[in-house]
Amino acid sequence: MQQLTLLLAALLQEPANERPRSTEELRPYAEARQTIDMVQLSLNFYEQSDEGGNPNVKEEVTILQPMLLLATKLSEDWNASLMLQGDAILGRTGSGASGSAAAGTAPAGGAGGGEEEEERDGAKDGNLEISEVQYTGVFTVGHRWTPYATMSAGLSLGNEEDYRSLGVHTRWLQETRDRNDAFLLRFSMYFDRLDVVTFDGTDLGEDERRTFSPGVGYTRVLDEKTVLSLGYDLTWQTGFLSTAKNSVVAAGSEVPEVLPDTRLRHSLTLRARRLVAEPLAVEPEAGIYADDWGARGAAAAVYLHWEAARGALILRPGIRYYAQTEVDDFLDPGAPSLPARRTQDSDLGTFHTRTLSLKATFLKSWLFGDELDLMADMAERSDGIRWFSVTIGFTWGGRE
Amino acid sequence: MRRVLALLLAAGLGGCTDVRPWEKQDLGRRVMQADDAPLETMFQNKIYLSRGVSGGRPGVAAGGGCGCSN
Repeated sequence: MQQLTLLLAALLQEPANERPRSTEELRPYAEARQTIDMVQLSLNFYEQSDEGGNPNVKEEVTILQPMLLLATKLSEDWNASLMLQGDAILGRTGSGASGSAAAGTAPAGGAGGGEEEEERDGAKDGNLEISEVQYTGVFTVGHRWTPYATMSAGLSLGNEEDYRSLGVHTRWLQETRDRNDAFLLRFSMYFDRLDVVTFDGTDLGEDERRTFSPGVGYTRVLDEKTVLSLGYDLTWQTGFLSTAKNSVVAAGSEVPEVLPDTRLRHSLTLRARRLVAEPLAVEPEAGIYADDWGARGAAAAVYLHWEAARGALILRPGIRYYAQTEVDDFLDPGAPSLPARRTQDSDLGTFHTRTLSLKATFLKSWLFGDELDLMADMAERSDGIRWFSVTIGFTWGGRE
Repeated sequence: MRRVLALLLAAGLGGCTDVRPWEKQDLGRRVMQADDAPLETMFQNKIYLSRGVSGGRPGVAAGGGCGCSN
């Protein structure tokens, strides 16, 4: 009996340096999941309340967003994926509020003063109805050139009420032979066309916006329990970069927003993940941002990845803090004059944001699919804008 | 800020060692794997992009592809 007990104890105990059971475990901190058959359906809900921000613009937004991802392994070395996304932007009857935080256009329009207050009060009493539907599709093909190098490329199409987008993207991931380092090169371009319709309904015809964004990434296995990732992205934009429907109210008049027609943006992010205990990993993250419009930003976040029930449930609570300074052309409401370049878009202003999030992944779904994800985010911005989002995601396949 | 990041990077890389394949069992655990749900990550990143000037996560370039105001 005693021998049997010892044998059982030995079997249950995991050796510290056991060789991995599959090649999947040899992979470093890179995306392994896209190379195998998977279907993922995600239903997202976003609600933003307007208790601050730009006093001249309604910023209340509700969005329903279904997303579908189909990924398949075409052969040993080829894979493909298709992502489809729809955005139903909901406004209240009579409010005219529309726009998309998670999907696209910023809400705009409206006058200042008492009329605005009346409209907002009315909006709260109106019925929710779909004011705009937007579509996005992204197709990607991936190829493994060598056991250590993969490349992917693809196309994206987007269609909004006044906005059409065509994009191409490519990325190259190169791992070292010991798989302790991974280098990433990525590049994306967007050729967008938009109808310039100003806040008062004036149609100024078509214009274009072009975006070129190269980026590099580096991932390093620091030790048996820690991985570090570093990413840098440069974004160069030209064309019509204002938001057509945004207006600026100052010096007793309301005029369209006018912003420069070029923008250079830099974004640098550092994050790490460390297994601190058997079922618990911690992931700190920090990022800085700067652009030639004068905006500066910094973000810090910490996420925990906790396998609360072995093989059944992973919880990911997180907290994120973000702060930014306004662009040079930001104009305070009530400014005595109207400069040639001006904006009052609250997303381009000075503020800081605190976000709390919680995600639960059920490794054996009790609804549909093989896995079930539930995620909720709640954010509060220092200028009074608040939002929360809820996501439910179903996954079929995706793991060998 | 740049100096702090450079110091953190140097300290991190300077202290690392080459990890053998059979020592990576912990790195293969589910809680250590990145981007379990790409759609939810995309949705979350889009919110961050739309409600500020910065993307904030690696590989999330700001701008282009939609009528976002920023």
